Amino acid sequence: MTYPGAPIQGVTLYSFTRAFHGRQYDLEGLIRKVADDGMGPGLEIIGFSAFRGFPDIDDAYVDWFQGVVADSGLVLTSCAVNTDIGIRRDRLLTDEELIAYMERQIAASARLGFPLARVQISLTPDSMERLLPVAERYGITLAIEIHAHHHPHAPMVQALRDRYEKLGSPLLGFVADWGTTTSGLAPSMVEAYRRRGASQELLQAADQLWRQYYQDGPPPTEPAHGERFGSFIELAGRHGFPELGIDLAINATGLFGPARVESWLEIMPWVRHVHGKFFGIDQTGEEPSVPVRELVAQLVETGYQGAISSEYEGWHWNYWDDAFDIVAGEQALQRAAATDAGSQMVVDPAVARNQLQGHFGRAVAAG
Amino acid sequence: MINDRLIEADSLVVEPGRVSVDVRIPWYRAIPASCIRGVTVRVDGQVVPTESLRCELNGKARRLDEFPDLVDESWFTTDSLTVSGELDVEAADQHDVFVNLQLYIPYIVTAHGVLMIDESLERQMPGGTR
Repeated sequence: MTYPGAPIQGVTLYSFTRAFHGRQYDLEGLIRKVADDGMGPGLEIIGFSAFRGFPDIDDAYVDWFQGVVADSGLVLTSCAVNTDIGIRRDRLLTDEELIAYMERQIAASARLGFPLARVQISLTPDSMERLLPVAERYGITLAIEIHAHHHPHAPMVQALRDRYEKLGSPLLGFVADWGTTTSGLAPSMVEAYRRRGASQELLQAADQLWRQYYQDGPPPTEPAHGERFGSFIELAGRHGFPELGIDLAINATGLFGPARVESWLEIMPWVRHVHGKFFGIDQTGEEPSVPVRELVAQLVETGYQGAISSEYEGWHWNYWDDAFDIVAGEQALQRAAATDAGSQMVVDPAVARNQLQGHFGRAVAAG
Repeated sequence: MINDRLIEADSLVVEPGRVSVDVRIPWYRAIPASCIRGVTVRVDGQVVPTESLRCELNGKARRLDEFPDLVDESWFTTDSLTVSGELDVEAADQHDVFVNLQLYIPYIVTAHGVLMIDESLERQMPGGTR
């Protein structure tokens, strides 16, 4: 491992969901915008979001996409794929069907040129083991995303880590999502609830409840998560806003994870990609609810050479600010944090491309 | 998620005995057509009868009960689902359009089964003609 780490700057197009969904930019336009505004060089895309017909894509489409990326000068980092176990109305997919469903997406991700496919945590250690030959066949890394309400000490994550250790393949790993390790609810989300009519009392009580869970640490089990989820619904009802309950519960437990930054060390040797999840940048240039400086410093200190995809998720509720400006602000914060930690973010595409080859090519072992 | 855009602006079409409106997917990604559970449309307070509803997706109009089998077809992120049906609407400069959509999110399974979102929106718009 090379010390200090120098994470590669990048972005996921998910940050610009409103612009793409609203037809302000098509895929090509969005890629060019990312390149022109210097938000790369790393580029992450969600397969089902951006590629029409995914995962069924033909050679002409692959050629077109790779041409657009080559022209932009950006470097593909991750294709996010989905574990759609519930596509049938009569039953869930069987393991066999799900493996086949995932293989089509993994193959498409590799054909498009991505070095890594982000998969979701509903895949078991057994499923990951079964998918390893698929990853080997297509030469692509498979990385399960650790996202709130899960966290590095969750039993499911530990079981995956143990299986990775046993299999010893460089093609299996994790995506670390910073929403797992937040430090508070986002001010823009609180403001959005205020605009929807929520009382000051409810907003204060929700903040207090979240802080209590932060003190307690992340939910140790799935039932514990379920209880927390229910407690936010109950809180909204008790304050006279039952219509906000489920939304508040989803956001407070599923977007704002209360695990500590240090907990990432548990799985750091297997972290192949990072989602720099964040929700907004304040007037001083800081992220008030995600400890971006600490998280970047940790990646530098642990020798991380992969990419960080800035993943702006405030767009769910913030329809009044410009997502492009907000992402630019968060990337400036990341660069400042890397410099303060004695390193720098990689922003040069040629350096990034070369560094990523080493990052994905090296064997992964326990740190 | 993106329920503020559930109804495409100014997409209402009013014809003698028939209306049509464009519905946008309230999610960040394409969803298999088999996950479309239900659509309700009201114009000026009148519900379009379910038996007359037709949903046009990828250039083909279908009844709602045809969707559950469509596991290999997708509703893409930037496409509209054009929902039409039989309804007599009185001429007016502006109409109240209400849409409710029930959509399964196939990768989120909770203790209650596959997550189904239930989104509604009401907008005012003029009624165009084709």
